[in-house]
Amino acid sequence: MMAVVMRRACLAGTLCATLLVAACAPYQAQETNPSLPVEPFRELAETPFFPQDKYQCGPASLAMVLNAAGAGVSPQQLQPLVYLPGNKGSLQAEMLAAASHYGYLAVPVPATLDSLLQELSDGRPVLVLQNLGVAALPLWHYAVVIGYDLEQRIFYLRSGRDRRKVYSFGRFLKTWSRAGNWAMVVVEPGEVPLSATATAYLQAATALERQHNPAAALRAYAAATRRWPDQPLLWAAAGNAAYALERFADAEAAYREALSLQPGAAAIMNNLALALAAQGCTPTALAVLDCAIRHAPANTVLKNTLIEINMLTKGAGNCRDFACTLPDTGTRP
Amino acid sequence: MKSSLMKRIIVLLVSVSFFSTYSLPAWSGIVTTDQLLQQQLEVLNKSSLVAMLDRDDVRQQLVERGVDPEYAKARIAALSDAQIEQLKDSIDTLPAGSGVVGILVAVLLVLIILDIVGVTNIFSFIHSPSK
Repeated sequence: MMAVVMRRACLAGTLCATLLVAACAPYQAQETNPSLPVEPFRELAETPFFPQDKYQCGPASLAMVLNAAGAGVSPQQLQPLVYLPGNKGSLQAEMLAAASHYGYLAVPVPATLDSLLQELSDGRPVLVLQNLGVAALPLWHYAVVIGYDLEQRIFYLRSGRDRRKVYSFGRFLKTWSRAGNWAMVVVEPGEVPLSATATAYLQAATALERQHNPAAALRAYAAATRRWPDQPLLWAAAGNAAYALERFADAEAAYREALSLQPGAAAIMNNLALALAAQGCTPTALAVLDCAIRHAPANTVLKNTLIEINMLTKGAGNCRDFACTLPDTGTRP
Repeated sequence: MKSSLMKRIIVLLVSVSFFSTYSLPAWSGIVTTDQLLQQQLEVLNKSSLVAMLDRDDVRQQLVERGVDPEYAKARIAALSDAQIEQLKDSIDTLPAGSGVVGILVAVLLVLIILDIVGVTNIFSFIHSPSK
């Protein structure tokens, strides 16, 4: 937008040559060659388009990626969830959080050109934040990247009121980097974006738990444990979602998997003890809790759990034993 | 400032009395995924109280900025503790994406200001001091 204004101003102005050198100079060389294998050309032409109203690029862009992922939602429905009238715009945190209201996951995309191309190549439109102004006087703008052409070095965007805005690589990457290369994709729970990191995906999925949608959260965590089977936190998260669904045996199995990867984790033992107690396996639950207290003796949560389990009707359910991995006393004071 | 501190203290006292008399629901003891993520186990009780106050702070900030109170509740509930923390102190300095529609005048203003201070040299009718 600025370049268009400048170009027009150039035609009218008297110091066009100076301006071209000062303001329209060629962009500095940036890393614009992908190092990952991606399609040479991709345009997700089927991505729906919602032209934005005044200050409403947030709701409009979010509606585009949500609809592309399968949710039927309009910018008008999203406006009260992401638009902040006093600030005349939408905050990134709320853009990420809003998808969970519709049972979808908004996953941050790592801030690299590779990740952006990877997601597009894999068929996901990418919601980006751009700064169309300069650092000192920013003009923040959300848009949806729907494609690229590596040979022509261009990006295709749904932006503002433009259904298909064409950006050169250099110009887009400049506006994007001025906004910290921030980007996100929206997926159904159970789908894991190619570029996602385990932590970013886990954080995205916790939003579903906050919406009291443990079934969707469990689908997300289960998919994540298939993608990153060696991450104890993902197994623990799957356990928590199963627990919330009162699927205590599934919760127990997930917690045990997490503890096999991270044997001394007192918090996970706390949850395992509760999952065991809920199945009537009081002796095993108390053994697990005893082990947890040895790892974290001063912890009040564990003490409260002990009281809670002792208050429950004692059962002698037939549960798998728990082998406590004792803390390494040699390194502790 | 003082009244805000008083309010926080009152809320804190009310919360403490609430927690001390409230009988624990069946699965109160689960360490949530959010908490696991923040590895807060050691300070869990204290943090959950502070986190509650912070949530209320941000909810009020949203309402003050024109969000419908009912929607403000739903919006706060969707945010993680870490996101609340981020918004609490910098809600007005964080980027708020608004787009180019309706902001064209602002773009022009920016360019005119840049011209006046001599950063750019677009408009012939502006004579910056540096010239």
